[in-house]
Amino acid sequence: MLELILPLAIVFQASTIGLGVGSSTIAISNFIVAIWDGTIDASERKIMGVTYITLRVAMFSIFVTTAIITVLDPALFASVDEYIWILVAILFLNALGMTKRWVPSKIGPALQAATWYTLGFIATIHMFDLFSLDMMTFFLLYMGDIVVALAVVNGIMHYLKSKKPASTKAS
Amino acid sequence: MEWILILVAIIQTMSVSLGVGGSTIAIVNFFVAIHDGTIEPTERRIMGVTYGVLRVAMATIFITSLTLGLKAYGMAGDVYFTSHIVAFWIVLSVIFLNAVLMTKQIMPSTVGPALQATSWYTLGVLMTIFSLGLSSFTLLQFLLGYMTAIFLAISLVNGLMAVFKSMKEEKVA
Repeated sequence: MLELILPLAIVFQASTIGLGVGSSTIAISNFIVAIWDGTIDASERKIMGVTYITLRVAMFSIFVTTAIITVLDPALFASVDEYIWILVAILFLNALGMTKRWVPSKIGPALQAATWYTLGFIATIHMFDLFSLDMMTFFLLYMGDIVVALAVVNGIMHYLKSKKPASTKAS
Repeated sequence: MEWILILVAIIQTMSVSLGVGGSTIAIVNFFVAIHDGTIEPTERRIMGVTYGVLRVAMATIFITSLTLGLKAYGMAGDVYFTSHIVAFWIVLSVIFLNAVLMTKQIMPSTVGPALQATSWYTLGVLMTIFSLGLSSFTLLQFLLGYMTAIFLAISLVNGLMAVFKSMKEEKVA
């Protein structure tokens, strides 16, 4: 039974990371498109709500699958286990912070996407045995991802704001 | 050169991730949008973003897979064409063909989104089981599994659409 559960958990974990990476990218893209006209109307909010629910499902699933893998075979992800748990913790804390509006919208979505992407990156290099990371390299990589995500999201938002017609800007 | 290939491999995996997430969102958005019977322009605009992301994922998966495939074929020759690799390219072809057919509105909405989501998930699973060293399946075994997954996804999507339809009819009545 355990021989079946472990590979299944690994496949589900990989699919979940895929879900998280894709959904967080779409969440950010939706957010940028939705605020383009200055407001987020009800139908936009409804469709965007679906993405947020999908992201919550992905978060729940990444926690469960990672916990199962850690318990059943601690050696499997041993070299990256702590990085994965740090990233999972940040996903949950940032989601909580965004829900409670402690984290501003200029930072929260970009941080969430950067965290999912870093999780995908860590899982990829570990799964395909591409190279190993020490804590400092991991930290620098993660910071780099966050800086890039913040620059891209805020850069696009700034660009869209500057392109907006004057009449819309005033309103 | 080695670093470039590692980078391409990472981008390939991230593209599959983008496709898995994007196709899931696309299918769920589709359910939510048709729940009230119509797709409003604003809903269509937001859904268009998802399709844009999916197109980016498709372009990058094709470029990265072709790069890695040509490199591996150059090194291994015909041995490169294992059942796992053939399965990967079959699924990728289905994703492209289905996307074209959906865009041209030849593929019905009762089949297209489910087929696309199943294909993206299959691609993700193929890459994961390859990394686990579980790629010793035959092409026939793969095709049977893939067909079963497609059948289940189409049944699920159409089942949910039927439920939504009956709920809507009850509301109208």
